[in-house]
Amino acid sequence: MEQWKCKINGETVFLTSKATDRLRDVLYRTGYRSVRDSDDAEGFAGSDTIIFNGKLRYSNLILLYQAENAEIRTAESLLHGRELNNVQKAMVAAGIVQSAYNAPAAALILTWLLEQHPNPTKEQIKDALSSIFIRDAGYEHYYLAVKLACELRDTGAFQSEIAPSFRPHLDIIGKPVGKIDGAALVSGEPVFVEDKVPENAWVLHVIRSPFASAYIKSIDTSEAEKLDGVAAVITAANCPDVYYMQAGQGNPEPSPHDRRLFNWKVRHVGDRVAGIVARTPEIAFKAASLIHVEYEPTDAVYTVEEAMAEGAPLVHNGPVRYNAGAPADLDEYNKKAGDPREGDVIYQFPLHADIRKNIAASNKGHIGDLEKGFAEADAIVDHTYQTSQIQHTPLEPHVCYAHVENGRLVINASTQVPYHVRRIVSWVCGIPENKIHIIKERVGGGYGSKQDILVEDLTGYAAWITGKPVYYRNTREEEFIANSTRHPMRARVKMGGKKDGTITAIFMEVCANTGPYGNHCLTVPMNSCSKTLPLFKVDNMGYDLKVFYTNTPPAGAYQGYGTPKGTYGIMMAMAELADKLGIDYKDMVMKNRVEEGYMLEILKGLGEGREGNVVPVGSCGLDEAIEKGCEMINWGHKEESDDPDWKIGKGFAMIMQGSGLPGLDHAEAIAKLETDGTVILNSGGADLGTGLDTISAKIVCEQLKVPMERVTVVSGDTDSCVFDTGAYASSGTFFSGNASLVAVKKLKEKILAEAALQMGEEAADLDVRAPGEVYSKKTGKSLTYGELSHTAISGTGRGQVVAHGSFVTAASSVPYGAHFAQVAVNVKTGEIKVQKFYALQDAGTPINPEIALCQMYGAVMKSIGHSLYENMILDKDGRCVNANLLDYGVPMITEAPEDFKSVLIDVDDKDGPYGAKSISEIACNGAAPAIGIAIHDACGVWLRSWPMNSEKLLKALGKI
Amino acid sequence: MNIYHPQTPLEAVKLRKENAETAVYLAGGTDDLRLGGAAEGKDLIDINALGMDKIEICGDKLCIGARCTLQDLAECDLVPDFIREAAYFCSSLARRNAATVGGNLGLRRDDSYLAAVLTASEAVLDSMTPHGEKEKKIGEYLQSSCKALIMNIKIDKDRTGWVKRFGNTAASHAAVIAAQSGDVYALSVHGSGLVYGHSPEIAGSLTYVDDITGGAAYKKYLAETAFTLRR
Repeated sequence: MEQWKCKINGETVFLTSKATDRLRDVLYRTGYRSVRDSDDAEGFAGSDTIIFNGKLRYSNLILLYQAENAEIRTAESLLHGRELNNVQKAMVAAGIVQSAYNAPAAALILTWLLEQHPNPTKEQIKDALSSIFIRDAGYEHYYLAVKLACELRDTGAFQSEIAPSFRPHLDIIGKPVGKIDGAALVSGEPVFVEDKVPENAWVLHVIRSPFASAYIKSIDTSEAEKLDGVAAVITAANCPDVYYMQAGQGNPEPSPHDRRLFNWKVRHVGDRVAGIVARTPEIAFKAASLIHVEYEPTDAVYTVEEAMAEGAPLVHNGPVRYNAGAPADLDEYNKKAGDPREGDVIYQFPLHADIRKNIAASNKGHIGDLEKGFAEADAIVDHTYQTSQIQHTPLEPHVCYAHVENGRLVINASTQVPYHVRRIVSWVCGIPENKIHIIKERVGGGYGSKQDILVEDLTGYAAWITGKPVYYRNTREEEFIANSTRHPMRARVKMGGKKDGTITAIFMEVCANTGPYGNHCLTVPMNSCSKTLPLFKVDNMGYDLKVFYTNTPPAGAYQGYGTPKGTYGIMMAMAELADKLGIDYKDMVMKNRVEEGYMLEILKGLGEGREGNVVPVGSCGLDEAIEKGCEMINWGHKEESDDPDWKIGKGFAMIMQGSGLPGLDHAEAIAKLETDGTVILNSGGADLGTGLDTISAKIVCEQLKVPMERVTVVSGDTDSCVFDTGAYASSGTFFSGNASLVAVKKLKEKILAEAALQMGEEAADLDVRAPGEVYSKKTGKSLTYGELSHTAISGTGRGQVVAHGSFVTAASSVPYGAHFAQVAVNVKTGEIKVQKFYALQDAGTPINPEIALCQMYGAVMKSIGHSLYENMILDKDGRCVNANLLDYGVPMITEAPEDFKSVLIDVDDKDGPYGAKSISEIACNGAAPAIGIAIHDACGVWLRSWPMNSEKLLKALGKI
Repeated sequence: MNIYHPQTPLEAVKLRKENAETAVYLAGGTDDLRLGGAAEGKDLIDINALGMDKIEICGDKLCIGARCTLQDLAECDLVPDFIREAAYFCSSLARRNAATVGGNLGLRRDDSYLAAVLTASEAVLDSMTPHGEKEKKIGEYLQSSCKALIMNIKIDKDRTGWVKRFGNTAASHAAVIAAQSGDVYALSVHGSGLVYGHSPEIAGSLTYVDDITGGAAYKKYLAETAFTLRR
C-alpha cells in the first residue's frame, strides 16, 4: 500500500491504497460517502462525480495515483457545519431530492456551475447536468432549483413559486415545505445500506448461469470450500428445500411458488447457480473459478409466441401443488411431470395456470354482449401493440447487508416491503419472524423492483448459516440480467364504434411474458386491463389474459405495473378508431370516458386473483385534465415546421391507476408523545424516496398543531414499527398515510383525555393549538404537550400517551389524468423529438405538491424512455447484449422535452387522508400512447411497438 | 498492473513497442478505464506528462494537441464550429472533461465522435513512431493498424463543413456520423467503420451489420441519406 497526497475539500489528505485502485472506491472508503457508484465505472450515471482540479470528473475513471497532488472537492465540502448550502437548500425546496442516491453529486455539480456562471442559462444548466443520470424526479425542477439558489444567494429568500398550494384551511398539508429527510439525503449522510456495512463484512458472490435453460448435472464445490476465507458455498445441493417466490405481495400471494434459493434447473442467463460467502471479493472470485458445474442445456423459449407454440419447450415441468382450490384432476395432471430436477410449482390458490403449456396464470371475463357490441359498430379496429423488456435502473442497485446479533438475523435492506422481506426470509431460513429484524434504509431508487425480495433471501440465509456479516450488491449487469424487469407484453385491442363516436365494444387480448419465474405473473399483466377498461363508459367490454413463462431475464413489478402497456394499446386503438371513423379523437374520448358516479361493472372480474369490488367512479378530475391539457397544447391546431422534412403532431391519453389495493392492503402506525412533548411516529410504511415519511410527519403536524421539527418519523423497521403491506400499487399515501392519520387522531383523543384529567376539565371543552399545547375553550387554561407528557410518566401518572392506528378499506380512490405530447418527426431521417409534454393529474389533495410534481416529471421521463429508447436486447441464446446503462439507452437531460409541465388538478377525495390519492405510478401510463398518437398526427403512421424509434418509423414510412 | 510514466513521446512509443501485448496508452481514461475498457488487465503507459495539450494557430493551420480534451475542443473559439459540434457528440460534460482527442481517435472506435469530422476536414496527424516523428493523413491512420502515438492533429484553420450524428439517445453509441468538408465526405458507421471519399456515394462501399444501434438496412439508409439533408 502506498500513500498519495492530495487536497480534499481544502484539507491535505493522505490516501492509502493501491496506485491503480479507482479514486471513487478510495474516497468512499476514506469517508467521503457522498461519492457513490451507480454504474460500476461505466462513466455514465455520475453518482461518482467530483470536482478534480477544478473540473467535473467521474472519480470512477480516475486511478488513485492520478490524484497525487490533485485538488479534489466532494459534496461534503458543500456543508457549513451541518448547514446546507444554497444549492442544497434549493434542491430540497424544489422537490428534487427524492430517492437521492446521487443528489449530493447533483448538488456539487450545480454549486460548481454557479461558481462558473452565477446566473446560468438553461443551456448551461443542461450542459452541467449532462453528466448525471436522474431517474426519480426528472430534470425539470433542477432548473427551478438553480433559480431558487440564485434567489437565496441574492435576496436571502426564495422568491419564485415552487409549487401551487392546496387547502388554504390547512396549515401544512398541501403546502410545499420540503422533505423531512431532504437535508440528510442531499448532504450525503450515511443513510443507505452500503453505508451500514462494517469493514469486516464478508461478501456474497453469485455464480450465474451462462445458459437460458439447462439442468445442472453436477456441481463440484469441494475445491472452493477448501479455500482459506470461504465460509460457505450454497447451491441446489445444500440449500433449503423451500419453494417460494420473490414478489413482495400480500400473503397468500397471487404468484406461484416456483423456485428455491437454488434450483437444479437454471431458467435464464443469469440465474443463480451458486452463492459463495468469502472474506473478500478476491477470494470469492478465486473460489468461483474453482467450482466446476456441468450443465445439460435444454431448449429455451424467449417470446410468448414461442412459449405458446405446440410442443414448445417447457420452462417449468414439475409437479404442481395447490395450497387451496386444487383441481380435481391434479393427480392426473402431475403424471405428465418431467425430470425431477424441474422442481415443484405451488399455487396458493388457482390462477388458471397450465404450466404444461407454459401458462403461469390467466384470466378472462366480460360485461355486456361483445358480439352484439361489435355488430352494432360502424367501424372496427383490431390491432396488436407490443411492449418491450425494460429495466428499472435505480441509481442504487439491489443491495443487502445481513448479520446475526443476539441470536437474531438483522438485515439492512433497500426495500419497498420490509414486512414481506421478513416473511420470505423467515420461510427460506426456517426461523420465526421474531428472530428477524429488517431495517429499511433509505432507498436509492426502487420503482417497483425493490418490491421484490431479490437479494435479501440469499444474503439473509448466507448470514444465518455462516454467522458472518454478509454484504451483497448487484453489479449493474446483474441489475439487467438477474433482477426484475417490466413484463414484455402483447396487447391485441379490438374496438368498435359508431359514426357518432360511441364505442360499442372493446376486447383486449393480452399475452404477457413473465420470464422464468412467476413473480407478479397475474397482478402486473392484469393491470393492463383493470386500470384501462374502467376508463370507458362502454357497455360491452371483455378481456382475455394469458401470462407465459419464458427463458428471458425475470419480469416483475415496475411502476405502473401493466397499466402503461394496456394504456398504450387501448388509447392507440381508440385513436385509430377515431381516425377510421373520421372523427376528432378528443370528441371520442369525451363521449366515452367515465364520469363520477358511473358504476364500474367491469371491475368484478378484475381483482388480484379473486373477485374484484364493483364500485362507482369516485372523485374524478379526468374532464378537467383533458380540457385544460387540450387548451395548453392548443388541441385541434396543426403546427407547421419551417423545414418540410419535419412534421409536427399532437396526441394525448387519458390515464388512471389505483391508490393501493382495497380489501388486500393493510397499514398500521403507532404515534407516541415523547416526554418533552415531541412526537415520534412509527410507521410501517416504506418511504422509498417519494416523501411518505414527510406525509406522515405533516399529518402529525396538522392534527397536533406542532412544527415539523418536533416530529420524527421512524418507518419500515420491523422491530419498532407495526405491520404494513409496503409501498407498492400506489398504496403509500392512501394506506400508510391513512394509518398515520388514524394513529394521530387517536393520539390526539388520548392527549385530550389525559389533559382533561390533569387540568380538571371536560375533554369536550379542550382542543389543541400551536405550537403544541392543549387549551381550554371554557377556562382559557393551557397545558403544553411537554408538561402533559412529563406528568403522565412522572411515577404517579397514567403512562406515556401512545396510540395505534390501523387502516384497511374497501374504498377505491382512483387517480385520473391526461398526458399530452407534441412531437416533431423527421420523415427523411426518422428522428423523433418530444417538443412538448404536459402531464395533468388528479392526485386528490397533493400533500407534498412540490414532490408530487417531481414524481410526475420523473415518471414521465421513464415513460418517454420506455416509449422511445429503452429496450433490453437478447441474442439468440437469451443473453442480454446491452446490459449496461449506455448501451441500454436511458433518457438523460438531453432527451427531456423542451416544454415540459406537470399540473395538479385539484380534486378532494373523500377517502384519502386529507383528500389525497396516489400520484406517481399513474404518471408512467400516458407517454407511450400520447407520443404514439402524436407521431401518427405528424406523419400518418401508427407505431405499434416499443420503443417507437427512428428505425421503426422509417420502416413504417416505407423508407427501409 | 504496472504503470509507466514516459517523459517523452519517443519513450512512450518504445514502451508500447516493448510491451505490445500487455500495455495500453492512458490519457483521459474514459474509454480505457471504463467498465470492460481496454485497460482491463493491462499495464498502463501514462502519457499525461507529455504535454501535447494546446490548441493553437500555426501559420494557416490549426494545431490540436492530442491530449486536449473534448471539452477543450468544444470550448475553443479557434476551432471551426462543425468540429466543435462533433466534440459535443460526447454528451456528458464530465466525460468531455477527461476524454482526449488523441484517445478518441487512437481507439479507432466506429462510433468515434471525431473520426468522421476530422477525416472530412483532411486533418493530418503528427505522430511518434519508434523511428521518429511522422505525418499521416487521418483517414489513412484510422483505416490502418498503425500504433504510432498521436501527438497533434492539424487542419486548415479556416476549414468549414458540416456534421450530423444519428443515435438512439444523445449518450448512446452513434449509429451513423456523417461529415462533409469541402469535397470530402466521411462516414463513421457503427459495426462497419470509417469510409471517406470525394463523393456522397461513399455509403455504398461499406458492409452494414445489425447491432445494438440498429439494423443494417437502417444504418445503410441513414448513411445514404445523410448527405442529402437540408443544412
